[in-house]
Amino acid sequence: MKQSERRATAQLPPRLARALIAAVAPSRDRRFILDDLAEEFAILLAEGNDRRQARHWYWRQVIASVPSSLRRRSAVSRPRFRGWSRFGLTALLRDVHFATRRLRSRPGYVATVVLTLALGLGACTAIFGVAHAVLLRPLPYPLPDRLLTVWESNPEKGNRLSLVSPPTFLDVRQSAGAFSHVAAYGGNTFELTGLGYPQHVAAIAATPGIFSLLGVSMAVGSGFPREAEQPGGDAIVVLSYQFWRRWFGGDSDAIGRTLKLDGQDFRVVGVLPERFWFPAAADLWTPLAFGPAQITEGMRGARYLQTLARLKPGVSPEQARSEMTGLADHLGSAHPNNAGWGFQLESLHDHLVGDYRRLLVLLLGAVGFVLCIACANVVNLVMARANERRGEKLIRAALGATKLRLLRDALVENLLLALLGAAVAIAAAFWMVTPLVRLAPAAIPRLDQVAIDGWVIAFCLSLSLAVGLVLTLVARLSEPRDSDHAILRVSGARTAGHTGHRVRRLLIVGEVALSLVLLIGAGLMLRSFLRLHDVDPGFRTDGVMTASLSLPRARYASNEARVSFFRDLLAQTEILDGVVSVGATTNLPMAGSTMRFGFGIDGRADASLNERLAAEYHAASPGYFRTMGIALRGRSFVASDNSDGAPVVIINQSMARRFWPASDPVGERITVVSQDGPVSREIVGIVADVRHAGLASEPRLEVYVPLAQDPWPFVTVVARTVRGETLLTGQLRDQLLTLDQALPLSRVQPLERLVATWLAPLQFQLVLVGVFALVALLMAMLGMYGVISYVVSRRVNEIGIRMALGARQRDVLRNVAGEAIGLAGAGVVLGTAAAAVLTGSLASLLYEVSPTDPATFAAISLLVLAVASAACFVPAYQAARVDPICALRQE
Amino acid sequence: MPKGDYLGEFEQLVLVALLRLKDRGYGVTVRREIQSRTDRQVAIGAVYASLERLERKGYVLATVSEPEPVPGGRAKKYFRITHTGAEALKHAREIMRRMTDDIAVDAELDAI
Repeated sequence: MKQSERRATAQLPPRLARALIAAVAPSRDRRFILDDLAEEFAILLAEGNDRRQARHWYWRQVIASVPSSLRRRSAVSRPRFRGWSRFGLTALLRDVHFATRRLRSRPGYVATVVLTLALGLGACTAIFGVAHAVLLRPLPYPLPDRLLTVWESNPEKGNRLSLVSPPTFLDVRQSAGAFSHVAAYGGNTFELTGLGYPQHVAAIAATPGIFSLLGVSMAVGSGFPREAEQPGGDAIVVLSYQFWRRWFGGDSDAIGRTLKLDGQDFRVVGVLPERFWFPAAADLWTPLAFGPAQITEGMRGARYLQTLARLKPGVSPEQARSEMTGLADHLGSAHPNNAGWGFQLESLHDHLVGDYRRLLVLLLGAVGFVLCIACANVVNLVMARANERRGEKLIRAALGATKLRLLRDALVENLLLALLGAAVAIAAAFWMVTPLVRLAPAAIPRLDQVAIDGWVIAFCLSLSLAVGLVLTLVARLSEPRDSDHAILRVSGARTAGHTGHRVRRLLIVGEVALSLVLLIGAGLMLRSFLRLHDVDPGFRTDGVMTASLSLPRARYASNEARVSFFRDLLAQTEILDGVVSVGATTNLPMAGSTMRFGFGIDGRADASLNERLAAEYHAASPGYFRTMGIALRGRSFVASDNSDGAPVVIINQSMARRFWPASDPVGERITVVSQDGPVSREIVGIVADVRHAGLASEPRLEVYVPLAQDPWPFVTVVARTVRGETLLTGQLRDQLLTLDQALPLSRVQPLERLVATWLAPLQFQLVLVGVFALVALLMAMLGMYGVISYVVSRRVNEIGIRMALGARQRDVLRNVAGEAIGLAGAGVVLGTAAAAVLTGSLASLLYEVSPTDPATFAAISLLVLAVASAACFVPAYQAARVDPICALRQE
Repeated sequence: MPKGDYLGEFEQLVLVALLRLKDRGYGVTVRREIQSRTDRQVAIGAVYASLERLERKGYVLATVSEPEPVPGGRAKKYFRITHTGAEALKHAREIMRRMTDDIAVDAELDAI
């Protein structure tokens, strides 16, 4: 065994060279080649060559073998991909390679097409990203489509969706067979002490079954036990994951510890999972139990519970609805407070998305239009390119290329461009999504989950493929039908390509129409927004700071305690540096909180008999109207309007106008219900209408009573200042600490921000639709400019002949510009018609502007026509300057 | 013999090497045979490329031997000339012979 002895003693061949030949050698011979080389390497060493020489030889062998091996590999490897090539992959790769090579020679064309498409696709992708997170992605619970929200409903009284009262909730839970779970919850705020500064913590009080209804299990510890249903049980609390991390460092020892909430000890029993999401954000969850006081007949009228239900498997929402109708009939006949009330069931998802569906669909429509215009521009470019390559195509066809083959080349090229556009669009969408979310109104649910994820990328890619396909087909259909001898005329290409003009003209009309629709939509929104901006809110926002605080009932149980606290707070705030005046109210405008109580007019039986009157109710301090700049007739509250003084009330103009249209209500008396029952009060003043529910809301009936006569445990302090807001915030806090060490101040903000927050969603849709509309207009005009220039360049001969026959510059100008403006005019007519149909869906988003507002329609149409004329002027002017001699010489 | 199936020079060398090696023709021996007789560097990759081409044409037949019964023993791919291969080689030689039949090739070449 001479050979094996040699092997044993042989040094190994150079590893890198060995790897190289192993990599390039065809697989069928790889083993033999490696073994042969190793064998000879060993022979060389055995023959007395030194190691360096042997390695040298090995390397030379490997390097010399690379070319032949690679050649063979490509020949041999083909059968290995037979499966692939059946799907045309090899051919596809070849096509892609070919298309890349063709495109590389046209960088300007590629850049224009890719950027235009990226603009359209990017806008679509970013908006789809938002829509996907908000509208399409299922809620993060098991079987989310089985979750419903339950509402009491009394359409006759104008209460389509009302919260549910505790006794009615218990009836629903007990008798509804359609539901596997029913749970109720309500928002709450605790004052947390003992962990750092005293602070307010958002909490939810929910019936114990809520976690099993949602299908969520605790990350640590357990949920609420069943006994928590009963009132008077242990005070227990479940923490959000984030609260647990922040205050307990994520330590599982937190279970069993106690939290001091509103001065009471609560035992921690569980921690929710990190990714738990709930429509109402809260850091603490406490069990909601109903004592005898909450299930009285009277409480059937106190509707304050949010109610969720999970459908039993196999039960349809319709079945549940009919069952609930039966229950409502039964309850209505048994309890006077339920009479006339039914139930409404809404899927939780629909309820959350609510009005934002319309907004997002609107935005998707807008970006869809932008994409269409981008595509139209690209079709123009693709057609021009096809025309440029017509000669090449004819030659290829004459040499035997089939129509399919040529179409396939064009398709691959356009798909490649579309995919490139999609790649740029996805990159841009990544970059755009953060500012977009920041700009969006915070009230949109699940906005924090907006991300450019796999779904969104898949959407963008499929959209781009569709775009590539459409581009190719439109460009192909608009190509002239070539006869077999067309090739003979290739050299005279200048005269060819007229057939595409019709398609180009249609594209212009379409682009103008689409951009006009978008612009009209944006114009209507702008008008509506400006109208809202001009609405007098009834108060002056500039220079007013607001800060909310609420007094724990435990320490401020008596009216006297609250009154004296408010008096001290306001008195001390008033003397702060820079403060002009201060006031306090229970319900700040546009802050979302309202109180509504019944009232009657003393001495007028008719008003109180025929209808039950109710008014928005406010308790305000003497300085409130002055600080807010609310106009007042009569007198304001004064310091003596306290519990010792006579009960007084101030009403708003709407109320005065409705009940005292001809006389002065000052001095009249009304009886207003409040926390202490009905009180007869003398009207001492009338204030301007304040748009409490938002600028778009109609003023309602409103009554203001002195805070000192009806001290609620929560107020918002307002201070008109001449100083910077931050300074005042600090001063207010210090002030508060001297009065009460354990009282947190919340929602410190300028009044202007409240109004701005209210306007934010409108601003969001206005800005987005406006930007899209302007982009659309710009692209449409670029497209128009491009097409007219192209048409002019094709008509040089004809224009030359016209001029040679005596046409003047003016005639040519009129001829070319006339055609372009005619097209734009057709687009405007078409767009106006389309807008008239489509803007109907905007009606609910508009304030005091008709969806077919003639002024907007006319102004936008004129704008588009003017811009279109400008866009076609340059090419028309160039056409008019054609030198007939040069033009004819080109023939 | 179909047109275009002329053997290339290197193919002829490989075939003749196989002829000389009888049943001992595999990568190493073929390469060394050609290298030693022609005195030119021959790459093992080229040998295998040529052998594969010949095999595809049906001029040689490849058989893979059992691994040698020793530790680390290898299997070898032996090549043998087929009947058609022999015909092709004969044909190639015949053509060269016909081309050079009635002239004194060496003398003529020297005279250039």
